[in-house]
Amino acid sequence: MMELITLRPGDLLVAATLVLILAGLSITQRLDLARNLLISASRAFIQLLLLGYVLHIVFALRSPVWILLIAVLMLLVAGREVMVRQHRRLKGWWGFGTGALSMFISSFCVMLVTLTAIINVQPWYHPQYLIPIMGMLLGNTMNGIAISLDRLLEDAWTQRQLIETRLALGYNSSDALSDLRRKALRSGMIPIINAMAVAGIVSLPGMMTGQILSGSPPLEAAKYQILIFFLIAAGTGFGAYGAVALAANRLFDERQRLRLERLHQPSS
Amino acid sequence: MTTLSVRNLEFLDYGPYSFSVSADAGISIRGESGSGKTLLLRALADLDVHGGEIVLGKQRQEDMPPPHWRKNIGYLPADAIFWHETMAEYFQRYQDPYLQQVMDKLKLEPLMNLPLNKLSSGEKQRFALLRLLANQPQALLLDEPTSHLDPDSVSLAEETIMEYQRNHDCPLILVSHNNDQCSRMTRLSFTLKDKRLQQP
Repeated sequence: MMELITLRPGDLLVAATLVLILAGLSITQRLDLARNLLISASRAFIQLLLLGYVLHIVFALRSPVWILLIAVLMLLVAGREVMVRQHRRLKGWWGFGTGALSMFISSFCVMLVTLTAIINVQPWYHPQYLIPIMGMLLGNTMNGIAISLDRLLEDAWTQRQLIETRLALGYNSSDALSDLRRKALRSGMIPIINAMAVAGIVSLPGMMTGQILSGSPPLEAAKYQILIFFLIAAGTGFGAYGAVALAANRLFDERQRLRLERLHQPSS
Repeated sequence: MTTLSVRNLEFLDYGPYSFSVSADAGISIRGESGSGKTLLLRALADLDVHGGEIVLGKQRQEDMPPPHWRKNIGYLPADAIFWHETMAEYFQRYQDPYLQQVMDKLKLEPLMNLPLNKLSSGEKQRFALLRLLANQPQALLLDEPTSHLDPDSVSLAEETIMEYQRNHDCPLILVSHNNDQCSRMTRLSFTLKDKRLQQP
């Protein structure tokens, strides 16, 4: 089996030069992307190296408290990310809570089932498994939930007259919103459905690539990738379902009135 | 006979308004655009937060589940919004000879299966009225119900509304910019100005 070739700092420098050339092109072409590109590239550089160091320490500690702490931190950051990606999010704690709570429930449940019943890790919180799987799950459910919530709240805003016409005709609040809810769920689920459909033919998924690079047998890598895809699909679906249900509920009050003033006005 | 009575109705910084509408004499509300006429109807339909007591017949608004209340109160918004591809889909579940009669009167039968984008705004407005009446409301709150209609259709729509009102003994509140229409359809007329409901 091939051994992993370790990267030296110089190797990363070559790749970084490519990004710098792209930034230069963006400046000469006035694409207005150079700033964002460089900031994001630096963030990825710093964050990932930092994560590498932290995981290095945590793997050595093997203490459930530290692992749990990291998991909670990841969840909070993902919750914030879901919140800021919504054009018109709910005001107050709801803006953070709807995304974070549904993400928490869906990804933690899916992960627990995985670690205890599927992979059967001993102990279940073994960081070598827990942290990467949790990261993959959160990263993808975050996308799905953010897309679904954004779609639902934006549609509720633009289709206010439609919803209120239905209410006026005697629809209850959940019937008045039913097709908007379906559309929101569908847009959140489509990326993972598409990714599964082309996996292995058009795209080589990141995790499988990583495992193959680090020397795992391709068949093992494939099995893990399949597992991860199924987990992501389940986590995204259940999470988006929960988030959409919570948000839809919050859009109406106890007299089933549409309360759009509970949404943030976008600043731009 | 059903009466709609309103006591100390307040919403935003409007009100309090108190009035009652009996089944034999509708009221009309006039006033400039933006004077709050639509807000008043929306509060009666319980679509906006409001205070005060609203009673239709023997039923208080707060005692009724909102969908029931809204079905009974018969609020027709100024803009006719539709979401199905054809009008027929709105009326499939009704097997009502009376509905058929209204449909014929408003000359809507031939338009039932046309795609939505082939209908004019006037035709949509007549369909909106038909859709409201199909619900058999116990009152009618109409927000400029004939604003997009040609003169012939206006008379047909007015007749239809007043016939429904007579047959069902129901209170009518009409918001309209057309003074002649107000006096044709209602006995009492109010003007909403500076957030006050005034009788001229």
